[in-house]
Amino acid sequence: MVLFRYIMRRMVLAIATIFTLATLTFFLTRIAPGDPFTKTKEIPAETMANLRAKYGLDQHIMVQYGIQMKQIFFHFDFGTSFRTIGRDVNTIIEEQFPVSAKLGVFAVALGTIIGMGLGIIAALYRNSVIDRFAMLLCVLGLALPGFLFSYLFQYFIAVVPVTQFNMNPDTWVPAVGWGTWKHYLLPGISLSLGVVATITRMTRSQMVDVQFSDYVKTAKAKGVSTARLVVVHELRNAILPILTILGPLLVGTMMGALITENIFGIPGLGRVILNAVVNSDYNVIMGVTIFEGAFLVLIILATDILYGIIDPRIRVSA
Amino acid sequence: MRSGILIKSMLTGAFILSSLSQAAGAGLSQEQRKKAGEIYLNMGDEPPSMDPTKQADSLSGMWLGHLYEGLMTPDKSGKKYIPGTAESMHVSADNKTYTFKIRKNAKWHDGKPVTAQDFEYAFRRLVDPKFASEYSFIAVTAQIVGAEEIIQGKKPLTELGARALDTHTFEVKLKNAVPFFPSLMAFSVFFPVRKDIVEKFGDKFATNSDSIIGNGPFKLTKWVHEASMRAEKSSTYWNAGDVKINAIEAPVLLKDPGAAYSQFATGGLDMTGLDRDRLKIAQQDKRSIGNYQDGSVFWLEMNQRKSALFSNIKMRQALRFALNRSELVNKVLAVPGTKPAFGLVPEYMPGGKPGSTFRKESSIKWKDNDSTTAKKFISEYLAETKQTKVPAFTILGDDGTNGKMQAEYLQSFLKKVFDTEIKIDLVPFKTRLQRMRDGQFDIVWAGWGPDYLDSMTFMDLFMSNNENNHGEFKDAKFDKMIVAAQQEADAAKRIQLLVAAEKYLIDEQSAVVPYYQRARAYVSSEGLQGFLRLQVGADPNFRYASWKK
Repeated sequence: MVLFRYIMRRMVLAIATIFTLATLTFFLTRIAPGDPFTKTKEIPAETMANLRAKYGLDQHIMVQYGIQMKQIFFHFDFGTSFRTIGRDVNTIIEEQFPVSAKLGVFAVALGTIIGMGLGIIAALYRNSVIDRFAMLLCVLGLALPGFLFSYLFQYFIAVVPVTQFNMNPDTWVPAVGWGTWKHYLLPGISLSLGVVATITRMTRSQMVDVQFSDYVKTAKAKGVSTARLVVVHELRNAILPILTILGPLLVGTMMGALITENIFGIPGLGRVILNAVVNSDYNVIMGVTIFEGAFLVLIILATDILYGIIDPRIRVSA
Repeated sequence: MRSGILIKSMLTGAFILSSLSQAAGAGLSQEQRKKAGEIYLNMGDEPPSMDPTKQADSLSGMWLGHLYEGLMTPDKSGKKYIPGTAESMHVSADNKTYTFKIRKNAKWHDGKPVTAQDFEYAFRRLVDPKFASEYSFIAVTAQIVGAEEIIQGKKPLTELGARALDTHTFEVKLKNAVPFFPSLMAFSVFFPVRKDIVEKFGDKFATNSDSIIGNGPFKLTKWVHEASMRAEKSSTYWNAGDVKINAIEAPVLLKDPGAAYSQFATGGLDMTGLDRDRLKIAQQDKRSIGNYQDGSVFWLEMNQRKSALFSNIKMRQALRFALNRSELVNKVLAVPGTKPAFGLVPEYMPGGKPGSTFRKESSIKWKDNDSTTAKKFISEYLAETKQTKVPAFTILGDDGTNGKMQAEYLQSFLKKVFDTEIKIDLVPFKTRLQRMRDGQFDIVWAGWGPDYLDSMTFMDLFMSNNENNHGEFKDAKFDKMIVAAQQEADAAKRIQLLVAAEKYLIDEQSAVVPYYQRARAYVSSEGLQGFLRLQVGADPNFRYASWKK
């Protein structure tokens, strides 16, 4: 019963969050100067009136708000794009989101594996050269934006070998594009660096904490081998906090990929949202923002619920 | 046992990876493309509208110009228009009635014949207020009988003076003679449209390759949204034997000029545009670089609303004389082919006499970078308004490509001449447009790309009631001059009127300060020839292109 009430409460909060997000997004897009039909070439007044009537933009803003909220929350329909005429926002998300998701999952998986490895090594050899090096990498990974690496990788890994060293462009890592596994490499690695930085630091500090706990001391005293100690005793406990940040980290990486997507010509949601913002494409801005927001809220909700099930203390305090 | 599972899953992983790479191949190499007669180019972005009657941007215009063909079409030089889907064009003695005979062998991509009814349907769709095409005004510019009233909802669609007389005869009646009318018939909003296809797909018409049926030399065979597009030569095109290219493909849509150049340099593209930085790299790389005037003219628009600083003509004249256009063109913009502008109308616009140009018939000319004259006007302004110093003013710009650099250059330049504080207001693109609309600016760097091949596309911008006249220059004399030109039937006389109107607008009123005519640079693969770079219509155009054998 306590668990049920806890879950219900979290879900109501989640829906309220999404609703607030939708409302804020709606009014912020309308407050911003210009509308979808504000273009370099002004549209003649009569045509403008016809266009605004056609898309319902001539109605009072509260009426527009009511209609859109009803469409979104009762019919899960975000309407059609103003820029790419005739394309439904739902279709755009359906077609473009998987691309961003695949790239995001790849980058986060890669970053997590490398980050955990580095973190463990850094913790085991604390204050050694390796540790210092790993921490330097972390600082760089967090301080420098991912798209900077995208540009560097694209030029030095994809372009230079072909133009300077006669590598065959058909078999070498492609500079841009999407479709084959090779296309994941450069954007995936450049996006993973931020993940590596976060995961390495977390793994290292968790491992260091665990190393001084009583059960590890006991295990050591019992003569457990180092490998078994690290994998079974230490990592198992250190890994939990890392698992909880993976969800938000995935969403963050996906959303933060917009410039990287542009650089590599990847047909994900990143370029869609960039175009939508520049062109005041109201419905696309709404759709993508709410979708990504809801995705994040759901992941956090799932994490919370799982935590609630695992750890009864959280249920009570919430 | 455990290691067995590990090996199995690794094998499965490897299999999935390899099948992925087969599913979407990397495309053809440059050598293979030459052999197959294919062209890969960077189109930058997803085309906003592939519905010809709705098209309002150059990206969609490029594709549509290959997928469809209008009554008229550009010739091999790109400078003249010849019958396309029409086999002949007959003009009445008063130049107000055009009769087109549609080719008997003109076919849609699904094999059905192109009829006069397809044109009638498209023309009516353009002016339909419910359809609300952004370019419906072009039917008014073309002076098609009834167009204006229909757009305003005052007359039914059937009143439009564009009719199918029979299956192969299409007639257009005009209110006044419009000398450039034939060139308009090559513009995408006047392309034929299939009623049955529009009705079959409804709102989803022209949103994917299945819902696009054209009548042009190429047909759309692939459209992966936000990713890639491909058009292949159509065997149903009436002149398919003359088309040398078998496919035009945008294998990836790259907005970033650096990424596009990388793709070009690694052999993945046959053509892509160059920005200022990439132009330098391409020159170092010894690429085959081309440039062309893209048609746009840039100018400084000044706010001339009451009590605005530049509502004073002396200030406007000072600005016109002050500018150093050759420095801007050669040092700041630095794209070969870009030229200083001393008029509103660019140099490629035709004149009134055959073979002549508008600019040749105009006598406007003043000394570039003439700070002496500029300062003379400034001191006159100061004396007139009893001030000792020019009030501070603001340059409005946007934060897009080069926006900051250009605004800063202009700021430091004008500071020397006007000797006052000059601020820069860099805002997002739409904010800039909204501020121009609301008159919240002193000077804004603006420009215009032509909609059709006639000087009128520039000249009517500064009429009192034109929505694009953001500075609100309102002058009854100028309005009258333009209306007179719109009603003039004689082509040579008409241009004379426009030349006089431009002289009045620029020389006497300094209503707008011309700055430069833009050129763009691009790289193309060795051996790609015969393509057109055009100021109006589909650009680039590959209808006549081929690979050198």
